[in-house]
Amino acid sequence: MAVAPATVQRFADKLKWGASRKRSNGPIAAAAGGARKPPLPPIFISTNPSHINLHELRDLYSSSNISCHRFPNVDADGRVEPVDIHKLRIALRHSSVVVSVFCRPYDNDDCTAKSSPMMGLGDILQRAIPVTPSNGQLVGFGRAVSDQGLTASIYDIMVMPSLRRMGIGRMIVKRIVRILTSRDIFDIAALCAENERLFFQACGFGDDILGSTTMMYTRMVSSYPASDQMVKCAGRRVLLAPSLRQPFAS
Amino acid sequence: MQTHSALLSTSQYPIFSFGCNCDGSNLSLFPCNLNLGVGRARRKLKVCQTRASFWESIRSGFLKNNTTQVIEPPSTNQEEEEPLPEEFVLVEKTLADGAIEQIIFSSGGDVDVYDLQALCDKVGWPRRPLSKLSAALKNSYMVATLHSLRKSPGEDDEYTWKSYLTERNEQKKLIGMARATSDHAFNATIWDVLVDPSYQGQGLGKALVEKTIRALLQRDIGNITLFADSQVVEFYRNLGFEPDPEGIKGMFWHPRY
Repeated sequence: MAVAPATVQRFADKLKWGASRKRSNGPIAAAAGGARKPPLPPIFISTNPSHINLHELRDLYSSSNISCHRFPNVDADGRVEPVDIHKLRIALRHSSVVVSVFCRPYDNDDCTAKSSPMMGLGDILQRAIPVTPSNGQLVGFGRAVSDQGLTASIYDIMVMPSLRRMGIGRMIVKRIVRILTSRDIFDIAALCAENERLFFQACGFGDDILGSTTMMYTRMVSSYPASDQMVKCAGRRVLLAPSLRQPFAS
Repeated sequence: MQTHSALLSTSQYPIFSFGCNCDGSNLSLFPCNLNLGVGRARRKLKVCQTRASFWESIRSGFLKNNTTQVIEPPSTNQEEEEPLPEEFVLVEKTLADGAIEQIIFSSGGDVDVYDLQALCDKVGWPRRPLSKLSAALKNSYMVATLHSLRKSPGEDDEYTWKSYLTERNEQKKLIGMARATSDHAFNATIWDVLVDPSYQGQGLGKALVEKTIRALLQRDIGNITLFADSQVVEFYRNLGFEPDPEGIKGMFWHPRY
């Protein structure tokens, strides 16, 4: 029967293809050479901005070495300046989607410290309690700014360094996209540096289908600014604002 | 017809407002630019009118709950994160037939979505649903507009009753717009910059974008981004924008079916 082996063969190919597709889906597995991802600790994903403690968030920004400025001041160790907490509060208030990921503190420590082979009853009970924003530690964050009608931009996706490469970042982006598309917003942009491009590609982002060029305002002060010029600092860049246009004298 | 319905009680306002096509704010005795659904994408700011007219002061006395036409000084509250709306004449010229045309810049965001859609058609942009347009305008950090105000000759005394009731020989037309979304603290993106083709080439687009940038920088919003079509990259480069600075690129979500 020539047909049966052919179908079996095709089916087997599909299985193999399916498995290999899963393996090579995303840079995480590819970089690890097809090794399995480490198991994900129990996490709690929240889209409620009130679950976030601003100081914890600022610490997460610092540990992920992310500054809200696109061109931040970097000190000798390569660490960026800490985020201004007041501006962060304002930014959160005006972000349409805010996603935060919580994890139990000892689950995070396990990655760095050696876990003891003997677990006491207390430990077992502690593991049985589900993680909530109040008893958990903030380990992941992402936000999006939108005009609630046509467009949205995703900013500041971050995961604690010890819990990276587990799919948490991708979960955050997927949640943001899901919320935005449920509000009928499909024009979703994400500004990313070279090293973040692969990550966003794995999340389903790509170059603009309309072929637009991303441009940022970078006009700087070339010499000593004139008295009527407005100069603003944005990270390590000092931006020069366009000069004021005088209204027409009628 | 409009004056009759204007004298009805406040509960009649929605019906009255919907019926009238208010392209000029001086057409009726009572303001019809209250917060509507789709008709006018009015932002929730108090518009700071730079000119007060005799009839507007009577009007504000008539209405009890008047939050739109009140002339008040700009707020000095430090917590105010919205840009202060301003309106001024950018260009004024006299036309061949003696009429005066003024191009008025406004950042109050008072845009009629129907006018906007007509303008988008003129520049050749694809049509977008009106409800989405009006929601986008309402939730943008700043909407800067250019209107062309054409005053016919012989129009001088605006305080006569006759000239107030009859339709004034004024044509106000939307000729340009730029809007920016922002998180009010760090990042902003400029979308939808458009100028009527018959008014292009005069530096109006440049004025719109420059004003937007200035308003953003005034609030210390340093990351100003935009996504430019290939034919306008040079235009933005001249305004101080740099393509892909330090390798930063914008990526867009591609829906997977």
